[in-house]
Amino acid sequence: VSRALVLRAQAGDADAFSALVEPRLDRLYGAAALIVRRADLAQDVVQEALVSAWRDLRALRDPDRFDAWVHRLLVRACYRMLRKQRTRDVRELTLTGIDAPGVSDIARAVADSDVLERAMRRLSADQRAVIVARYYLGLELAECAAVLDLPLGTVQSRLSRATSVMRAAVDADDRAGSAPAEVPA
Amino acid sequence: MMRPDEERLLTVFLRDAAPLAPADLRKGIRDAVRDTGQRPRWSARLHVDAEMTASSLRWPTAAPLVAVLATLLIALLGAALVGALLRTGPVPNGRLVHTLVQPNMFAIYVRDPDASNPRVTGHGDCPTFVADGRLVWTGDSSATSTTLYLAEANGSGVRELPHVAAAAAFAVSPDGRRVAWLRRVDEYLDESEGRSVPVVELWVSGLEAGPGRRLSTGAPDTISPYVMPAWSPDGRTIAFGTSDDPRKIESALPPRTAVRVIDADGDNERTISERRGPVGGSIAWSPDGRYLAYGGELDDSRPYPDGADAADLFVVDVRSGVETNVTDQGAVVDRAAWSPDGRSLAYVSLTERRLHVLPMDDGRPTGPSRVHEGLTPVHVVGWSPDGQSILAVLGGPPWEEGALALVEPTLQGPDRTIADGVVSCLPSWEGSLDE
Repeated sequence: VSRALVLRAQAGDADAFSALVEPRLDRLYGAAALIVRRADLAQDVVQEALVSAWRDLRALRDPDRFDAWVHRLLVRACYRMLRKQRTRDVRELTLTGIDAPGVSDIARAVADSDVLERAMRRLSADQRAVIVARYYLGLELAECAAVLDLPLGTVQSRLSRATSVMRAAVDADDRAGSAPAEVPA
Repeated sequence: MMRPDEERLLTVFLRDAAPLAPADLRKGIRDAVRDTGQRPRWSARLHVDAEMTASSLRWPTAAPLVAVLATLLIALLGAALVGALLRTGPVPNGRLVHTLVQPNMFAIYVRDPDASNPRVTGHGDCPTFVADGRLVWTGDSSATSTTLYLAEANGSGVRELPHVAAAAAFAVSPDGRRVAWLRRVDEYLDESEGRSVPVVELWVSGLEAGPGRRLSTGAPDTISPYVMPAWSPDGRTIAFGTSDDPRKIESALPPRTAVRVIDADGDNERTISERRGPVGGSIAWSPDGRYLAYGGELDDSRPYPDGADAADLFVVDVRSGVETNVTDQGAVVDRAAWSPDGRSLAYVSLTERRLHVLPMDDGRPTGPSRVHEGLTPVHVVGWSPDGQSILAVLGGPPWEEGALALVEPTLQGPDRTIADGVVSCLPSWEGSLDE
């Protein structure tokens, strides 16, 4: 993080804020799209999170924590968006009733990213958020906990749970002969 | 957890699957930032910090030494005051107050410290002694929200506390000057349970005058706080529970619940523990304020016997967040209670509704629990302030009969039944931490 840019932005320099945000935009948008799973909603989410960041930037005490802070705002904005879209999300979540721990190997899906895409769709919003924080944003577990506002143990258990769901989804996909699952787009 | 090769694969997949930000988003954000037409807001906290810094720069040269000495003096006085307020061991029993359900009312009985000499002092629900020896209770006409009343222990001088309106639950601070309460703001129909569920906010008000302030609505997407708030023994922190709002988060699994704490001035709200399944009916601070005990589901991947929907007993170190499951699928109902010396936890098993006493040291059990085989069904338990007795409320649905009994903590001595009848709430012992 460029401390100088953060400090300038905190002083009200909109150009500094734009310069701060620009190199992060793809990652933020990518993370939002993976969590809310719709491009148009992801745009709204990123815009809401970054406008909040601009508006409240002086509440950030440590400029070095800018990234963690923005990630947190982004995840919260994702949750708010999903809440608004909950009717659609309910239809997706009804497909996640896979309770038995999977024994399959996610690596088997390497030849077909559609399998992983379908497995991702079977995750709840909470599970997607923790997967995205850990494996897309590349955050350490403690950073995930801070971004998601969760205890460390909960992050670990949620990751474990998400892994089980994905493994089971890959298994189910295999059993179905790789036929696409009927999941709302 | 994921294996390293799976992690690598998932990372690559996510990197490839994530779309790039479209050009109009970049422009949209620039425009939105400019359209806000304002400089970033100062937070209230930063504003205070800035004022303090500015004033410190204006101090005369000798002032810092004076300030340091004054700060030390204030700190010493504060520590003495906190020490006096912080009761970390047994104290003599005061009077005991409890209810007995009667055909048209809940009668309030006050007893002498040895639990003798019962006399009716009024009617209402959940009477509680406050630090100055007066009583607070709620009206008994509503199960979901009600009004608070304050009175002398003999029942005289009853007056309503109108600034604590629509309270779903309340807890008086250890110094008796404040009340934390759950303000009912909405309700919804839980179709799976077929009942109305209140939506509440956590408020803190002066006990005798309002309006107070809203401290928390809980974490996003939660119904909160739905467990009775609990003051830390030093009166600085309040623990409460939240649960996923089923109207906002759909899941086939039991709702996530969280134990959260917040400073009594509204700062520093944080989650201490989160898991699936219900938090027990209350959260109990250890007498030294270091640990919280509560019921919760062990893990959503491990089924409980006989379809029980709750829950083991957990103890969490509030400072470190380290959580210990202190029961082995024992299933807790409603409430755990620390002994005044912090060396035992009393709780009630869900399946058998029996009293258990678990020896504790440094937040961990030191042996198996002792079980009272002869007393059932136990509903809720609490300790006497001197630590020499456990108070057990007996009864259960359909609540046609019940009793109030005193039990020796060793579970070896004879039990003493002090009242026959249905008791609506955990009784309150003057001087007890369980307020």
